[in-house]
Amino acid sequence: MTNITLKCGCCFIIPLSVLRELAQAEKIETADRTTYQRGYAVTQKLRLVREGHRQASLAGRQSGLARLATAVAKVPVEHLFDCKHTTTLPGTAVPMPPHDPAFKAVSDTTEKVAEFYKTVLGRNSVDNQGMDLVSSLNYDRNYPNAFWDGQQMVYGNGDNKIFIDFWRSPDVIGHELTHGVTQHESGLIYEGQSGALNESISDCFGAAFAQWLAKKPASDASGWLIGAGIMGPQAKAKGFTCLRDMVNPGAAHCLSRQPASYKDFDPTGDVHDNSGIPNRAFAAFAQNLGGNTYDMAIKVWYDACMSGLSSRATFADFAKATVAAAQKKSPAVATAATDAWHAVDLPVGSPDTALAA
Amino acid sequence: MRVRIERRGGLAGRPAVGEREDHELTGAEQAALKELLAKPPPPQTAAAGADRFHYKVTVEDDKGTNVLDVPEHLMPQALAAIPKIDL
Repeated sequence: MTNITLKCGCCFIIPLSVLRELAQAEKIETADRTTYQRGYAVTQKLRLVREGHRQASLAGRQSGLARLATAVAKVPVEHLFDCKHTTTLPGTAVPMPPHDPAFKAVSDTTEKVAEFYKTVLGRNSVDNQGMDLVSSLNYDRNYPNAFWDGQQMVYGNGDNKIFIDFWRSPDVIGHELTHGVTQHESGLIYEGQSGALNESISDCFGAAFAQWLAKKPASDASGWLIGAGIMGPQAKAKGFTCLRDMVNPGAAHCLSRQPASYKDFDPTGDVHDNSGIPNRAFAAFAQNLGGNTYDMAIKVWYDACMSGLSSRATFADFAKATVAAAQKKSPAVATAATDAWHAVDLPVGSPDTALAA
Repeated sequence: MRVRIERRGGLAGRPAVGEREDHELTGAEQAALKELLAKPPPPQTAAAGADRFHYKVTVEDDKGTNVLDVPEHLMPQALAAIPKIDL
């Protein structure tokens, strides 16, 4: 057995050729060989991403300006790829600016998410250091999903029955990018309560982004629907108008109904199930405050995310962090946050108690 | 033999399920299942990132029941297409 350990697929300490040899070496134990195989695959993928970026920059009409801007001001640069219905990531580089309507829509919305992060939250891209934003479209055939793979966004086209293109909901694009933010901040572990918080934070920022984009107030119920734009004809015919409703997580119009109270927390549930509880707390907080979610509520939630939250944080930990962050805004904001958590049956005490905790 | 494939996770979070008797599996599905059973993924593995799919493959035959947890990146495409959302 060797003592080389691969913890992060982002590092290139071990040359690709060495990884390949280790991945194929029969004298190495199976578990270690699997690790090397994974490391080889990830490293090779990153190499392809870099090459794709280089190709896209060469093909783009403003590539020189974009590179200069990145170097001087650390502005996140967008990169688009077309998987052409394969599962190979990142796919074929798409010249910027894109002309295809689908790629243009993703590019425009992704750029708006970066603007939202900057103007509303004071954050520079996913990693707060101007990280480039990479999106791959047309992943697989009829792929019913979108995901963050640890480095980039990936969008499927759906089956055109239950789901259509997953990039069609701005909140979905905000959701996936925010998984990157969480990865670079608290690193909430993707299981149990921390996993449900991870999911909820993506829904909260996705919804707040979509409300900001459409200039909708917190009182507008349509601004709290997640995935309303990706429902296919069969789902609509059955009365499903969204994946999730943050105001009413158990509503019949949700394709994926969720618990709305901490009393109904399911320890065996998927992270997308239990996220309904903090989702509802956030929506209640924003509506308790009134006005626009993006003027105050999302800033408090962001401050809580940036407050040194543990990667194993529980709902109670996060609730306390939000109330403490709200207290720094004003007593009235703190009371609104406390009331919101009470509304989902997760008492956090008085604002002062939560701050002390 | 009977195989049941459950899919969880994904952005939607809505479970999907598919079941087949062995004679209902296509050649590609049978080959993929045979390979998966011969080389099951290491336990506790998960695909990187968030909103990835995760599969539970249950195979019942005369010898008993075999249950595999398979992350999306290790799931054969031929088998991944079997689970469907029941509206």
